[in-house]
Formats: sequence, structure tokens, C-alpha cells
Amino acid sequence: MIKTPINRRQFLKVAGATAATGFALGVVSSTAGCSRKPAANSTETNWLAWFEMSARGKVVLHCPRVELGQGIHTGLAMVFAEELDLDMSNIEVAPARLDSAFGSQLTQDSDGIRSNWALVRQLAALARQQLRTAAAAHWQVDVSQCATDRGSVVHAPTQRQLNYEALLAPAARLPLPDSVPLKTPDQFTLVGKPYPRLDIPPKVNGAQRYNGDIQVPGMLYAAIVHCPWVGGKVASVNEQSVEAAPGLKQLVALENAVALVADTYWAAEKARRALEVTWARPDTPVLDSEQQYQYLDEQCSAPGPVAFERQQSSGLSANAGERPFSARFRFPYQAHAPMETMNCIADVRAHRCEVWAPTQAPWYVYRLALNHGLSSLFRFMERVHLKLTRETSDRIKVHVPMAGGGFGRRLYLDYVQQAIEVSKAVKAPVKLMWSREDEIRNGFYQPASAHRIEAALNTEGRLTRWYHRIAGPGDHTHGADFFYDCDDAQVEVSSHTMGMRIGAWRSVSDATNTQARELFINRMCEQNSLDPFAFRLSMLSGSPRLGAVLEKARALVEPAEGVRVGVAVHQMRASYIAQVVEVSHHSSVPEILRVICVIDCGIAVNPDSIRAQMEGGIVFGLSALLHDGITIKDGRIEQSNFHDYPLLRYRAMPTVQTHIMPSAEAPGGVGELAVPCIAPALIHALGEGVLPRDILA
Amino acid sequence: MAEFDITINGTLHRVEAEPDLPLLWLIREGLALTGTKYGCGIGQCGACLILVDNQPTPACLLSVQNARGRSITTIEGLTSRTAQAVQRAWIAHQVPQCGYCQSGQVVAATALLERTPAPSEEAITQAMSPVLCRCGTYPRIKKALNELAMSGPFKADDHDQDTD
Repeated sequence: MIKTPINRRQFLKVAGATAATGFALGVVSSTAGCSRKPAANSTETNWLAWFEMSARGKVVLHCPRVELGQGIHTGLAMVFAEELDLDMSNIEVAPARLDSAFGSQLTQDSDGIRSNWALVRQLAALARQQLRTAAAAHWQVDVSQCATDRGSVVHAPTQRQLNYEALLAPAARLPLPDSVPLKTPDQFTLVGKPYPRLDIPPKVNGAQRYNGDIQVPGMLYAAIVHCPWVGGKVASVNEQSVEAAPGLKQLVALENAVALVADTYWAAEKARRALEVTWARPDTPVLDSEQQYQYLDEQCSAPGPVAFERQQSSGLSANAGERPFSARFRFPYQAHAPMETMNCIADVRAHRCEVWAPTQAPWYVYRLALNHGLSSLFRFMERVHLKLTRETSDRIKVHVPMAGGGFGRRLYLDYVQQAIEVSKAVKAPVKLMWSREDEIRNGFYQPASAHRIEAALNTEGRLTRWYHRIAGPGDHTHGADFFYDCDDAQVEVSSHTMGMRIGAWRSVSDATNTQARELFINRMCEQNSLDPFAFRLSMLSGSPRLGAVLEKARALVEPAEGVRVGVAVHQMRASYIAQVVEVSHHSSVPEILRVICVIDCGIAVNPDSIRAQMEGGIVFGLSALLHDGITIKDGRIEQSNFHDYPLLRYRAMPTVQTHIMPSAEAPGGVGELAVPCIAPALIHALGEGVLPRDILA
Repeated sequence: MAEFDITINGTLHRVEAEPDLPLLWLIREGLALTGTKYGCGIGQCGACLILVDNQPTPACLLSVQNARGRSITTIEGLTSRTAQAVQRAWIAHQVPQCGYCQSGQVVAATALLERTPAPSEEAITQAMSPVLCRCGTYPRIKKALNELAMSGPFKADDHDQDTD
């Protein structure tokens, strides 16, 4: 066991408790459709905002991250059960209420486990400590003689035991200790072993409900037509064009779209096909893709803001034999394309607003309801309530059902604002559903970028210079750091507005920066007959954990005649990854034999969930190679559905072997980790003249 | 609007609908069988796969009119021993992530194994490629199906409902 000091301020903030009373028998407000108020004489006790214990012996863990199928609910439950010493079968996980004590409650950035690991452990350990102390007081024995055993405190010398529920009330009244013992990794019995995910069973037989499956009494359905020109608006709507549309109740013109409200989705959709809208094109149309690339290429020819630099001298200066290399890369916009399109149910009244939305950002849903749903009087009252109590009230209820994939798209809640505005206009609950075409054409895309890299090797084949310029809309600094040893390295990142809607796409600019960097290194190695493993390994003194995963990956490769090997490495969100792709070139059509994925993500809480994220990230990265991304022509997005924006299919899926390095370090993020490396590794393994889409279709 | 007799999961329904209504919306809204999902509307993604006379078919492309006289089975109606074995294997191999495509996956897999109890890898690939998964659960689907393909007992399959 190790002792960890309690951050009193942090705990008191989360607990709503005071130093004098320790854990107050707290009352949790019932907003957000999540945790609910226990009855006055209920035997249920709220321990902080994070969990409740019921008399049935169940613990409900309130999780401030949305379960999207990545396994965060199960993972945090395991962490919690580990330190509290509970059987997993006695834990349920519920979405946390909206509470600023939890922070932003955004599900993004691969941070579910890594941001909550320490706090959840401390909370659980603290609870365990208080329960032991309460038992010791009750038995009049020393607390050191009181151990726990999966939900009970036991006093071995006298063989007495009490279960946690019986000890809750006295434990809650104890003052906070200065520190609590945490397990050391060798003491883990749950964390580190695969555990079957809590959210899986209803997903195999159609029982799992998603937002589109929810029915609300009196609900109407809305389809929507968006302006086909990027940045355009509604100019006028020809209502007569849908005069005779059966079932159509109302048209609602929004800023850049028109919603059609009907009593069934199909009636709304049929009306949508008939509706005539006059659109106002933007004053400055968005540039065609080729023009955007040319503009961004030019930006790469001029210096930009320095995002990373290392200037040092190790004696490996450029010499007369220095060989320069340069290359340019272009990466397109990409759509998220989750299998569930955007949709939202909103029930807006003047005095209250209820919203059901698949989202990665529940607080944003609340704020949209506050700012666009409630009438001004009730908005004022809600703001006052929020300020005074720091809690949301029942005026705004936010429901977050299971989502059919997020990948970043569900951080941008245009679809929620639309549903709220439509419900407000028609004065009835409305379920707004986007078509696939709506989703592909109205994304918040992975931003396009242009890259220029110049580097130099000296006569010993050592890298002496690395100069990488990146230009694109939005933020391209993630993953731009040059972590290899190099005396003279500089990365410049410039941001340019291109008039496109952009957003966080799984692994953000780590994907494109890694692809440019690793492709460049592989080409440089090939042209100089350098082994791409050895070359990298000789330059990773600054990142030993990355060196270790690459060493392991190299050891797992089985060299074979006619098999080309491509490798790429990256580090992001406190994790490290090496991916190797083996491609057989025996026949005229190259064949991917396997993908080797070696990661160091610190302590692997649920190794099976981590493997699933590696497999998923690889598929996500491979899909981007099937096409030229989202392209723009004449101010319009060219793609619309899966026939022209394809995703990888079962038939193209390579075999993936994942190796998780043992580690006692704090958990790093894994949700995005496997995306960046697959493209550069595969492209190099294919060699010149073979396009990934030729073998991945 | 017209009246149509449609048999879904063994039950005859008399519905009033427009003839061109895609069966997907009748199933989801008219009959509140929400296991079948909308993914693309053009038969490209497989999220809406149902069995039409035991053949996997996108419900978004089948009109109510053309569904008359056919035996329609949705994910909710998959109760055979083969279906149960598929669902057990899906849990054992921890297949789903977000789960949205999985009704389509399970329908395709069940139909395959009922048709061909010991399918080849090529047959599995053909049967499963129509269903897209953005989360990338394909490797686990493959493991689950390879195991089921070797299991054997589903060769003599009795359904718990009448097949017609």
C-alpha cells in the first residue's frame, strides 16, 4: 500500500461537505436525469457526487464521461471497485449529473481513464478507509486490525464482520483523514485483467436503445434540408411546393436550413424531397479543394509561428557530405461518419426544456437549452439558480442515451440547437433526424493541411536537421513536436481560416502530423538503405518508452522473402505506440499479412477494451485511405453518402496483433492512439506504385 | 394510403401506409421494433438488415408494397438456436463497441450460419461485408464466426417460431 495525501479542497469541492462534518449525508439534486434525491429517511447514502450506496448492497458509480462503447463506464468501475474492495457484480454505473465539480464532463481527448484515475482511486480508498474506521470504532478495536473483503469490513481476531451498508451512516460522519492508503499495482486483483463490458449485453440482440429509438408522448418528427453551399443561408422558402404533402405539419426556417415537421419521419422526408428553397450563397464562397491546397502549399513556403524547436549541439553538425531531403504532403478534410447520424429530441416549453441527445458534451446541451429553449424570464431564473446553488434545476433536463459512435462529432451540437429551435417554433416535442447526406455534408471536419518537410542526413546516416512546416485551418499543433534526437529541429504551424466547419476528428492533427513525419522518415531511410527500425531507435534517447515499444515491435516481426515491412511510431496523451504492417508482394495484388501494434499506455485498466480501441483505431485510420476525403467544388461539398465516402469493410480488415507493454506508470489515453500510425506504416509496406485504396476496397 | 398485410416475426400485421413507405420506417415507427437501425438509406451500410424469406435485405430499400406476402424477420425475431449461439459468441468475444451496427451484423451472421453451418472464410467475408462498422469490430466478428463455423451443432436447426 502507498499513502496518498488527500487534497482536502478538491474533495470538499466534490463532496459539498465541510471540514467539520466530513462527508455530510449529502443530498444530490435530480437534474440531468441522473442521480436522484434519496428520500428523507432512505437508507441510501450519497457519498460525494461520485457514488451512492444502497441497502441492497449495490454501489452506483456516477461517471462524468459518456459511455460510447469505448468501455469507460466499465473501466472506471473497475478502478473504483479495486480500491474500495467491492465485487464488480455489485457495481452499477450511471451517467453523472451535470455538476461543475466534475469539470467539463466532455468525453474527448482520450482522457476518460487518465484524467479520472487518480481521483477515483482516492475516492474509493477514502471510502474504504472511513468504513474501516467506523467498524473499528463500533467494535472498539484498532483500525489496523480491520481489513475489507469485497463489500464487508472484517475483524480477523474475533471473526466479526459488517457489510458496507451497515457502516455507511457512521462512516459518513467521520472527519477526513490526512491521507489514505492506495494499492500498489502488484496488489491489483481487478485492474489489469480483462473484464466483460457492462454495456455489451443489450447490444447483441437489438435491445440497446439509442436516441432515435426513444418515443416521447405527443412527439412530432422533423427532417431537415441544409443549404448545399458551405456558408450559405436560407433566402426564401416556397411553401406551396409542399402544400399537398401528406402529414406535413409545419415548416421551420432556420439560418442555413429548413426543417419539415410531420407526424411520421417518412412524411417529413418525402416533403423534404419536394420542398423548394431559395438559398443565399455566401459572399465569399469557400475555395475549391485544389485552390485550398495551393493556398496552403504557399503558406508552407513562408515561415510560420514556431510550435516546436530544439537547437543544440552534440557535435553532429552538418558537414560537407550532408544529404538534404524534402517532401510535401497534403491531407484532406475528413468526415466523422458515425453509424448513427445526428439526431435530437427536444421538448421546449417557456418554463422548461427537456432534451434527449447523443452527445460527448452534456453541458453544451444544457447551455443550448438555456440560451435557445427557455423563455427569457425562465432563462434568467435558471441562471440565478445556477449561480447561487452551483447546480442545474429541473427546468432543464438533459438525457444522454447511448450514441452510435462519437469520434469527436458529437462535441458540436448544431443538431441540438436545431431541434430546440424547431420544438420552440412548433410548440411540441420534436425528434429531429438527419439523413446520412446531412451528416456527410454538414460535418465539423478533420481540417485539411499542407506540409513541407526538409531534413538532412550526415555522412554517417544521422539526422542533423529537421524542418517541418504545417499549414491548415484550425489547430495543427497536436503531434507536431519532433521527439526524435536532432540537433536542429523546428516545427512551424500556421493556422488559416478557409471558411469550412472544422472540429476534432479522432486523433486530431496527431493523425496528419504523424503521417507526414513517419512517411518522410521511411522514404529517407529507403533512399539511403537505412533500416527504418534501427534508424529510429538510434534517435529515441529522449523518449525511452517509445524506444521500448519500437524494440518490441521489431522483435515481433518475422522477416520473410517477398514481404515488405512498414513501421511508424508516435506518442500522444501519455501513451506510446509502434505499428508495423507486413505486406506480401508475392502475387500481383499485394496482401496485408498482419498489423502488429505495440503500445505502452501505462497501467492497462481493462486490457480487452484497450485491444478493442487498437483494432478500432486501425480501421478508422485505414478508412481514410479509401478516398480523397471530403472535397469542395463550386462552393459545395462533393460527397454525400457511403458510395462516394466509403468506409472500410469486413473484407478488407487485416489481422491485428496487439501487444500491451507491462507498465506501472499512470494510465495514458488509448482511444485515439491507434489512428495516426496505420497510414504511414501501410503506405510504406505497399511501396511505390500501389495505392492503399487498390487493396482496401 | 392503402392497407397491407405484412408478416413480421411470425405475426401478421394489417397496416395502413403509403405503398412506397420503406419497410424500415414501418418497422421502427409503426411497429415500434427499434432494433433495426437507419444508417444511410441507400442500402450501403447494412444497419437496417432484416431477413426477407431468410435472405438478408436492407429494410430501407424494401417498400411496404413489396413486403406483402414475404416472411420478414427483424433482430427482435431472431430466437433460433443459431441466433442465440451468435449472440452468446458476440458477448464471449466482446464484439460490440457503440453497438449501432450490431443488429445488422447479427442478422447477417445468423442468416449465414443457418444457410451454411460450417462456412468457409470466403463465405463469411461475403456475408459480413455488407454491414459497415465505424468502430472497427470486424476482427472480433471474425473470431466469433470462425469459432461458430467450427462448432457444428447448428447444422440441424429448429426455429422456435414457424418459418414459412
